[in-house]
Amino acid sequence: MREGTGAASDAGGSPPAAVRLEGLAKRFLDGSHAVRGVDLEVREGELLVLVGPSGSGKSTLLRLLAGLETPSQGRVWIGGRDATSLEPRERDVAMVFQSYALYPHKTVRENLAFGLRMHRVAAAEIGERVAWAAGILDIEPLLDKRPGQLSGGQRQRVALGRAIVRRPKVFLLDEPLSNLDPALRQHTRTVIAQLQRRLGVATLYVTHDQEEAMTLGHRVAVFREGRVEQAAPPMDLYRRPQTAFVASFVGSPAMNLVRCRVQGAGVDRGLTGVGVRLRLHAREAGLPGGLHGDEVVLGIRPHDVRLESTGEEGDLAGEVLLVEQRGNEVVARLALDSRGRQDGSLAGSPGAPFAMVLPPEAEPRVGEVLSLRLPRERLHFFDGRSGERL
Amino acid sequence: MSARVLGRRTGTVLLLVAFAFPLWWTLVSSLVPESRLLDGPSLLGGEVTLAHYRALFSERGFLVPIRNSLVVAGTTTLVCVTLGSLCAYAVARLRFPGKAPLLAFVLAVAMFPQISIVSPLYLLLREVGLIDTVPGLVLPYLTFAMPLTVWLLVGYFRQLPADLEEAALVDGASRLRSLFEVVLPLALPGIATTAILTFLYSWNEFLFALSFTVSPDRRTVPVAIALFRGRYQVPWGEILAGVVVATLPVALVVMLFQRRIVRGLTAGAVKG
Repeated sequence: MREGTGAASDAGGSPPAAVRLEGLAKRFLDGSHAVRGVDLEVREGELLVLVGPSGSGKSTLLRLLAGLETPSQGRVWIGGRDATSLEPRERDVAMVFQSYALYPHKTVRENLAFGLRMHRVAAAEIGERVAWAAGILDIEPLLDKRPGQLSGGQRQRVALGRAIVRRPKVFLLDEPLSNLDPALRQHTRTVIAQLQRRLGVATLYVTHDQEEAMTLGHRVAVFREGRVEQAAPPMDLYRRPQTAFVASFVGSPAMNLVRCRVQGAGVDRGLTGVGVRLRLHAREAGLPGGLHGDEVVLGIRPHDVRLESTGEEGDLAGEVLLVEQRGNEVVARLALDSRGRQDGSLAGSPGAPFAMVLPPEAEPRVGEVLSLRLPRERLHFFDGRSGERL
Repeated sequence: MSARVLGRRTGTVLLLVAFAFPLWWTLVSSLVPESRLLDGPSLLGGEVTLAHYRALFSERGFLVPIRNSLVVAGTTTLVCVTLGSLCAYAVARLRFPGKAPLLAFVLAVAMFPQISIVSPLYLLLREVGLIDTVPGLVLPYLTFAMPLTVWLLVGYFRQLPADLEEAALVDGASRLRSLFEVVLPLALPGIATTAILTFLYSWNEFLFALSFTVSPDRRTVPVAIALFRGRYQVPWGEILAGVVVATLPVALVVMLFQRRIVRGLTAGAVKG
């Protein structure tokens, strides 16, 4: 914007990324690690969603970027400039807080103008820009009210307005929708997506909602325990999750994961696990060679599980425990039958029931035993110990 | 049920009488002529005179101690709130080494019995030539007023959501700017309450004022009233009139702001 860029951009070549994080780590005073070595890039105009369970370090990462926390290690580059030790005000980023953090004693207009005033923008231009932002977000009638007089949705839009009016290099959004009711959340999600595409400002968006992440992001970075498990476009995450954690986190209902042991070598191999006895042909499945005796995690999405209708014996059999009607589809939760075992019991069965998606007209009954087929090209394999994709 | 309500009401009335009666007696007695003052309990009616008040202001020159008290208490309050809010903000929000010891030190300073520091303070003030001056009272007053201010304001600042300041920082404000633009306006009720409490403590202070002033025209209100008594007589009427003049404005202010003051004294005790 109006601050001079400190360092020159990377020598020649492509323009610098809007944001680059190098080996960024944060350890708090109590010794707990919030972020453990993150390397990430956000390109100009890109919306990168940081998603992960609460406590996985995604919000801390955002605060490190804003300069509200100091990293224990690593560097932060914003617009090709080393911003690691810059004050928040020198970074040219705008942040939308989960709580909105609107200044309660200022009117909406003053809230919007505050950042511009702090950056010594001329009064006339402040007026123009506030009007512009208010127009985009449809909050003109609210300009002279105070935050206390606004509804949750209105406050949310004012918070967005306060960010866009600055025209910063980077937007940081920390769970901006989590305080809205579901209907409004859907709508606001669209508003944010359109706004971001229109303004073309690099954006980091934190959420714990995988659906929000998948629908909003150009790319999605999945966080777990302070590390990025995988950063990729949404469909790549869905189709080729790099770890078992990503596989279980992305998609709804979650991917089925079953621990199995590889039996045999060569062309004909088998997989055995609790309730699972699969024969794999080398050509069909993506399981690498070798591995005899190793433990692997077999994954398959509930949408990819098929009913065996040909009358032949299926790959698996499962007893229906629970039926969830979702309108456009039916989700059945199954207990895998340990067919072929002597005891015939389900002792030691995995914690989560096996899920499959059926067409809406299917009417599985609880207690019914279904025969299932697992299309080999839809199987995912992960290392039994590290969880890495094989 | 109704017995309990009755019991509670009776209790309230008894408390009210216990607290209000001395004030009422003071007020009534200050309006009774000297001759009838010691005759016995005459709480109502009878002859009313303003003679004591006239004597108070003409013969005793009571305006001088009032002005002294206003200047000393006002200056103390101003210094306390200005410096105290900066200190309290740092304690409430910033992470810096030695924060816990600092807070303990602030509290410890307030723990000393006043009488134990009168002599050292006297020697100190005499050394720097501040005996019998306004700074000679303001500085000692800071020893008890400052810890009070800091502790009260820390409670207030902690109640404010940190998000607001962080939003201001990201929006481009410096720490100090966010303090003035965001924190202080929001903490204004708390600051006002703190200011009133500080002012009251300083207005009522007696021991330091007695010890560190010499000349009559430097005395504050409590000291002046205490020194009304002569060798052979105690001018009860004028003392009572002085007490009324010193107490009434204070009582009025407290009544106006009582709700806030109570909140100030318990700030941080319970989450808002």
